[in-house]
Amino acid sequence: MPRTVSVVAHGLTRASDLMTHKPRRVPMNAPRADLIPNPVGPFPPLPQPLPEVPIPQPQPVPQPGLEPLQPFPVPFPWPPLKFRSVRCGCYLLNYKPSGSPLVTYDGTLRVECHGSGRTASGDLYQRPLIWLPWKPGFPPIPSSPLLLPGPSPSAGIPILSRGRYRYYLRVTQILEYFTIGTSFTLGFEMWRFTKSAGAWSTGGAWTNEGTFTALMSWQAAPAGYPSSSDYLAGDVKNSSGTVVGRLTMGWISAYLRKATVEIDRVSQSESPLHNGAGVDWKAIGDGIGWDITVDQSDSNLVEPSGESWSDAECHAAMLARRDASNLDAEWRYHVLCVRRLDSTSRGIMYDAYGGDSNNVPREGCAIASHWTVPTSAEWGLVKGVRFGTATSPYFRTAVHETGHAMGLYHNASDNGFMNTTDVIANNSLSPGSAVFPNNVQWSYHADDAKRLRHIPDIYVRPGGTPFGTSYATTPISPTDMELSAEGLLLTVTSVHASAPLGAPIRLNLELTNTTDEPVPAPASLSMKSGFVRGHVTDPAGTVRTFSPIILCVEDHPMVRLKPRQGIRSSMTLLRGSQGALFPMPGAYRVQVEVHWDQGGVEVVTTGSADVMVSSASDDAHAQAALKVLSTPDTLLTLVVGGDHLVDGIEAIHTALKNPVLRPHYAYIEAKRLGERFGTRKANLKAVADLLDEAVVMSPAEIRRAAELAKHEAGDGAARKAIAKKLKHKAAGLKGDEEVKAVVESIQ
Amino acid sequence: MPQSLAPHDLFGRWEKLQHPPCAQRYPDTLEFRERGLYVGRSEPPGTFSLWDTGTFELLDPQHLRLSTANDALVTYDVSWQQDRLTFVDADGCEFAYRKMT
Repeated sequence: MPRTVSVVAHGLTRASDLMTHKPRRVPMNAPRADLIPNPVGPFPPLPQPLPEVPIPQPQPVPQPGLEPLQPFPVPFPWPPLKFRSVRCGCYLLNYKPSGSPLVTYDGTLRVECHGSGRTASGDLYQRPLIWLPWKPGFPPIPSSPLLLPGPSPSAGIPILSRGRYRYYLRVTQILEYFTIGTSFTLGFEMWRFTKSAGAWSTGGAWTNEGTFTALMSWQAAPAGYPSSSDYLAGDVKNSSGTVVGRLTMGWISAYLRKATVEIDRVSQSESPLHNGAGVDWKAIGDGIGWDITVDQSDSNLVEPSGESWSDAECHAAMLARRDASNLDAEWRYHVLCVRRLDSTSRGIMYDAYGGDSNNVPREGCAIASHWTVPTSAEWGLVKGVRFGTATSPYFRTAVHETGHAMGLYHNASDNGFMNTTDVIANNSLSPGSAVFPNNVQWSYHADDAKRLRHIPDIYVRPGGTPFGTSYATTPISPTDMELSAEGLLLTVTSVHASAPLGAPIRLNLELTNTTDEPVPAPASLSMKSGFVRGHVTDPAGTVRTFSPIILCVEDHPMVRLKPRQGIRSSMTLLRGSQGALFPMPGAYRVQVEVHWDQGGVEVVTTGSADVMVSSASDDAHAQAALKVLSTPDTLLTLVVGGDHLVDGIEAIHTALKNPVLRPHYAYIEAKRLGERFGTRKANLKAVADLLDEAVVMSPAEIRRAAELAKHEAGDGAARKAIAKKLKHKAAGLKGDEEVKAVVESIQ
Repeated sequence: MPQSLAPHDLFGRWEKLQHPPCAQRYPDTLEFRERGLYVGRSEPPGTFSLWDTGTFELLDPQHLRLSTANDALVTYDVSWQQDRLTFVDADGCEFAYRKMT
C-alpha cells in the first residue's frame, strides 16, 4: 500500500518544473477523474530563479471502507507558500572573520545545477589594505590602514589577483533542490593555499583548516546586484559551533567562470574558431559554465626562424604580441597558430612548466596548421589533408591545448577534448565507431568538466599553479555525498541491442548481492520506486538525464537481499528533462543509478548498457520519429496512460501507423486500451490485436499485460488470445520465472 | 650486453623499477599497445605523470620517441636487456621498467 503518492516531473524536481508544463487535455467528465495522476511535464527546463509558486496541500487520509483518495487535483492553499532554491551560476562571495576588522576576503561561489541537485565550490582572495597618506596642511594623524572596496557586483564575475589568493571552499552541503523555508545550511571546508617562495612555477601547498557551516538566509540584495532575490547571508560557525565570521553571497552571473581566448597567427595559418558544425568557443564555454570571449588579434605574425617554431619562439611571440598581459586582471589564454612546430605535429602546450621563460606557467599554447594528416586508415575523412583545412580536428586541437593551459591532462576515458587526436583516430577503427573525425566527442569528459567548474581558481587560471600539479592533492568539492555500494552489482541490459530512430529504449535491470552476507537494498527497481535515475550519453557526447515521472514511495521500500540473490525490473526510456533521450542515430550509453539513503548517507550503485539507434529507413519513418521525439506528451502517455493527453496519443498513433515504429509502440497503446478510463471500458480485444509477434516488450511489460488480461472481466476469447501471445513471448525469457508464472496464471 | 629492441618487444605492460627522484614524473606502469599508442598510470589516481597517454615510435633500437603530457614529442635513449627497459632522458635521468606481461 503506498504511503504517499506524488507526481514528480520527469527528470526534474524543481517547483518551477512542476508548475509550468501544461499538457493539452480533453475535458474529463468521468467519475474516476480524481484517480488520474496529474500529468506534468518537464519540457523544457525553466530559467532560474524559481518563481514563487503554491504547493499542493497534504493528502487527505483515506477513510476505512471508502475508495482511497488520490492527491490530484488538489486545491492550492492560500496564501501561497514560497519555494526557494539556490540559483545556478556565480555568486559574489564575501567572508569577514570575526575579530579581525581589517581582514576580509572576496571571491566567488560557483553553483552548478545538474540532475543530482547542486555542486558548489568557492575561492577567496584577501582584500588589500591601503594606508591613508598624510596630507600637508592637515594635522598629522597616525598611519591608518583602510580596506579598499570589494569587487562591484554589477561588474559580473570578478577577477582577483593571484597574489591575494587564500582559500578554496570545498562545499560539502548545500540546498540540493528547493525549500519552503527562508534559509539553508551551507557546509564547507576551508583549504588554505600557501604559495611556495619564488615564482609561480614553484607551486604551493594546501592545508585544510577545518569544517564550517553557515545558516544562509535569503535577504534583499544591496544595490548593484543583478538579482535582488538571490542574495544570502549567514554567520559562519566552526565545528565547535563557535561563530567565526560572516558570509554573504549574491548572484552575479549565470556563468561560473569567465576567460578570454586570444588567437594570434601567421598569415598562412587558419584561425581555429569553430568545428564547422556549430560548435565554437562560446559553445565550448557554455558546456562547462565558462563565459569565453574570443579575441582574434594579430594575423600577421612574423616567422622568426623559418616556418617551424621552437617553444621559446612561441613564448616570445606571445609576450610580444599578446593584447593584454595582466593575468591578475583577466584570465587570458593565448593560442598561437603557426605553420609548424618543432616539438610536435599538431599542437603543444609549450608554456607548461613556467620555467621556460618568465616563470609564469600556463599562459599559452600553439597549434600547427601545415601538418599533413597521414593517409593511414584511422584518419578517416581527413587523410592527407593539411591540418589547418581540416576544420573540425584543427579546432579540436586548439580546444585540447587550451585545456592543458587550463591545467587539464590527457584523458583517454572517452573521445572528448582531453584525449589525444591519435587515440581518437585509432578509436575510429573500432567496430561501430564513426569515421574520424566524426567520432570526436565535442565535450569534456565528466571528470574534466567538473575540474573546469570546481577545481580551485589557482589551479585552472592562467599563471596559477604549474602544469603538472597533481589532481590527487588539489581539493575539489564532492559532486554529492554518495557512497559506493560495494558488493551490489547492478546489471543493465537492453531488451534489444538496437532500435530504430524514434523508438523508446527498453532496458532490463538486475541488482545482485554478490557477497556472502545479506545486505540492505531497495525492494524495487521500478522507476516509480524513487531509487532509480540515470543519464544517457548520445553519440556526440551530450549527456541527458532521466528520473521518475511518477514517484510512489512505498511503506517498506528496503529489503535485506540474501547472498547471491537478485531483484529484477525493466524500464522504458524515451525522454528526460533535457528532451528526447535518443534523438539521433548512433551509439548511446545509458547509465543507470540505483541510490538510497542508508543511515543518512546516500548510497549508490551504477550499471550501464550500450544501445545502437539506427537511422530513419525512409521519409515516412523519419516523419513518424520526428513526431514522437518532438512531442513531450508522448512520454506522459506512455507512463500514465489514459485518454486525456491527446498530443501524446496522436504521436503514438503516428508511430503505430509506421511499420518500423509500430512494434515499439504497440504495447504502449495496448496498455492504454487495456485499462479503463473514465466511462471507457477496457478493450481486451484491441490488446490482443496489438500484441502480435513483432511487438517489442520488456519482461515487466509482459507481466503487466498478463495482469491486465487476468484482472479485466469479460471477453474470454480475447483473454485467451492474449495469454497465447504472452506465453510465446515469455518462453524466451531467462530467469524471469515470476513473469512466466503470471502469464501461466491467465485463465 | 644490451639486446636489440624491436617494436613488438615493447607491446604489453611494464612496471617501473626502483628509481631515482628525478624519475618521479614518469608513470608507475606503462602499457605499449599496437598502432603506436601507450598509456601510463601512476598511483594514487590523479598523480601527474609526464607520460600519461599518447603515441610512441621506436626510431631505432636505441631511441624511443614518446608524446608527453603537454603534447611534445620527446626522444629518449633506451636499452633493453632481458625483460628490463632502461630510459635515459634529456636531463641524464636514468630509470628502468620491467615487463609484466
